[in-house]
Amino acid sequence: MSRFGLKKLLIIAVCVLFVFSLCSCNATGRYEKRDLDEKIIVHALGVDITDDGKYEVTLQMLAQQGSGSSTPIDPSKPNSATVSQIADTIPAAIERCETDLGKKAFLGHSELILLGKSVSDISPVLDFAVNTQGISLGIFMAYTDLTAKEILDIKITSGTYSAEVLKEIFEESKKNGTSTECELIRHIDNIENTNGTTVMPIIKKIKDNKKTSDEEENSSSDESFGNSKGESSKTKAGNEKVENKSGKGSQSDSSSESESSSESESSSESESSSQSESSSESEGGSGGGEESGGESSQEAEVTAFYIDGAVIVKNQKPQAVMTRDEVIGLSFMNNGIAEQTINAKIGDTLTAVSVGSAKKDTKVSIKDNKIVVDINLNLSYEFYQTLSEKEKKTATEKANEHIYSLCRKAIEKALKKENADIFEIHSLLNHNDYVLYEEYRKNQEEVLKKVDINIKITPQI
Amino acid sequence: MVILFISRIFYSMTFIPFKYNDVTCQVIGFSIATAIECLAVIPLIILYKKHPDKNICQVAYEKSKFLGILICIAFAFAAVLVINRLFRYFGYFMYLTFPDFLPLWLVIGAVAIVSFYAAFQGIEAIARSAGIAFAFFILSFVIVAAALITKMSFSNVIYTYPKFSNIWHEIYYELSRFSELLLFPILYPYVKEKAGKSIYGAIALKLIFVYLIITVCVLTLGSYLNISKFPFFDLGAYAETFIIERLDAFLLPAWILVAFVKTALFMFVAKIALATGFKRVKSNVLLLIVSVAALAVSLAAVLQEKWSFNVWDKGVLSILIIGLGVLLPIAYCFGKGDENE
Repeated sequence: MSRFGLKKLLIIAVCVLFVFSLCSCNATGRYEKRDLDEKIIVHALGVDITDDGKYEVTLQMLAQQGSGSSTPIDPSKPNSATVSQIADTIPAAIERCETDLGKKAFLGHSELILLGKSVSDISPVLDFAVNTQGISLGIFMAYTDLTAKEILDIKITSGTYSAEVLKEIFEESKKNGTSTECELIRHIDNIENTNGTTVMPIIKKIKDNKKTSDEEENSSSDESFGNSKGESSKTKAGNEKVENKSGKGSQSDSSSESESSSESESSSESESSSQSESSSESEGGSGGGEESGGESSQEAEVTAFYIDGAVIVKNQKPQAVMTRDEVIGLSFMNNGIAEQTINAKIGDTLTAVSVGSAKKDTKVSIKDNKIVVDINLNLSYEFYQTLSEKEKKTATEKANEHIYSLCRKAIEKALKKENADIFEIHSLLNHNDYVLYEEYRKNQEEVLKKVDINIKITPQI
Repeated sequence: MVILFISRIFYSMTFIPFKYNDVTCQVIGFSIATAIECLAVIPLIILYKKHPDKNICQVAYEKSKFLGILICIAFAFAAVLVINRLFRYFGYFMYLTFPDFLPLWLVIGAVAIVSFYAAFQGIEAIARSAGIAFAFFILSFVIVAAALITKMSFSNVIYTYPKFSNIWHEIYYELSRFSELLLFPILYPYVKEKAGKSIYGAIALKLIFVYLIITVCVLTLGSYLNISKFPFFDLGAYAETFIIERLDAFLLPAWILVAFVKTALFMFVAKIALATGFKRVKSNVLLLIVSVAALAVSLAAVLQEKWSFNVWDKGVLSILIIGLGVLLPIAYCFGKGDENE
């Protein structure tokens, strides 16, 4: 080595490392050093609005006694705990939670922001998420048809915690199209481009048959998101209709209408149902501070979660609810679906057809003062049974019809009824016709009224 | 080439200021600014050919002692302003992303000390550190970009109709950040390869990486860019693999290393410039004076939380960059060169 030796280089490297090592220095006041056990690692954050318009924030965090941190793992104890507080703003409520626990909340590992049904304006939550240090852009953001607190209070003992289960459910649901895009960054992107329009999946909890049938009788309009008044009843369950005890086959009302009905046999739901069986007895709250766990109203009946439908958010306010079928239709048109199983009826027998999105072509044109968006979906089909060519053709036609009807449902609900741009129309216009895009920017409502979406499905067997 | 590139890329890592919500104007403005930069360095290359063994301060000092000293002081002053700007950006980043970890004066003080030591060691130490920083930057960027591939989508791209005012603003903003024009007139006697190769290589590298960063940012973050303060760092925060949930920790060391190299470089430039003008004073004493001055003005700004692009950056530094980096080489590239030309 030349005049400049390795030794000097090492000294510089040590000096650079010194900068990093300073990060662990002990100080007082604002920069007080905190060990890991002096922090609460928040997995999920729930936001509800109380009757008097305040924010009730629920933090779900790791409860060490059930997580195996001090071996052996005690599976009889839940490994998550929750703490809730009410304040005028979200940061103030979190600060109160921290005061209750005597620990600092670390939000960098949060995986979910859950909005209760009462949240009527998502802008304060988005502002908080964007401006809070450490919150990941990939954090999932969803609504629930109950209160966020109720969902996050559910205790699971099978080696994981409810926020993690929810994340897995989201990921699986996205693959089969039953959930819309739910990452924070995608919501922000949509809202920035469409003057506050986005779509958020709805998380529901699976309950036993008796409870559900009671609810079915009481269920009223499913479009009551954003109403904080008079929703003290925890059993009000939106458009939840059919559930069986095993947790499988939870369907929205519309799916049963179709001849080739789409069964919700996604792996996520079956996974969640197996989680629930092991967690059904565990309702003991644990952790520190004013923790709430195991409320009597949700004992044993609660098994797990599933995603059913989505909320259309317009001007950053929840406007309408999409059913599960409509969400599947939307997913086919927007991001594609990895695999969705459709039951096609051939004669008297039902045949399961696996459908996946292969390719999507989109064209924008203007005809008779209408903006026509032609979407050509190339879908790949696989059959779980040995079928003749003719039967395959029939099954494909049935499946095509069904997917077409799902897409039409989504278009009718979101575009025709709610006039909401959840089909990435802004992006299509921007890429295809800049003059129209400028018009869209100036008067979104009027331009959206002129939009027609045509669907063409090209099957690949 | 690597030194110049590392020096410039600090700004792209800190801010890709999508402040006009207009990526199209940014790309156009940046491209035009780069073309202007290519022209602006021609006098420097000519000067290098005329005086390959003398930096511009030595040339000026030989022609006029008084003017030479003034130019040396101007270079040192410009270096202090560049370091001040760098520390403000650095402090702002730390203030926003790690507010409770460490007092800002300690962070900036530590980087200043390390940079001082590197400048004290000389250009070779800085060059080797720049090599490490370059490798680290490439590695971390490639890892983060690879982790983001599945999240990129062309539907995230929103084109805008370019407005002249925005393009002009971007050109001005980009040129005012081209502080490497101050580095080259001082550093070219140390260059072993051809001057043109070094300087155009650095500009080409900058062009490639800024385009790459903009592309990855736009395809991944979409309109979130409109509200993002640190898009490059947000890329790391959003990237995830099946093992690691977020990769911003990969970018942070690269970013600190780049900041350290840039600070050391400008401290070194100030030292060389002042040592030319004040031959009786030991160069390391001059380095200490410059470092303390740079640290003091930076700390004063940082402790008052004055982060933004201020009048010193907009006006004084821009004038110094054009005056010392372009006009002065033009003035000296005419006339007789050295014997070994």
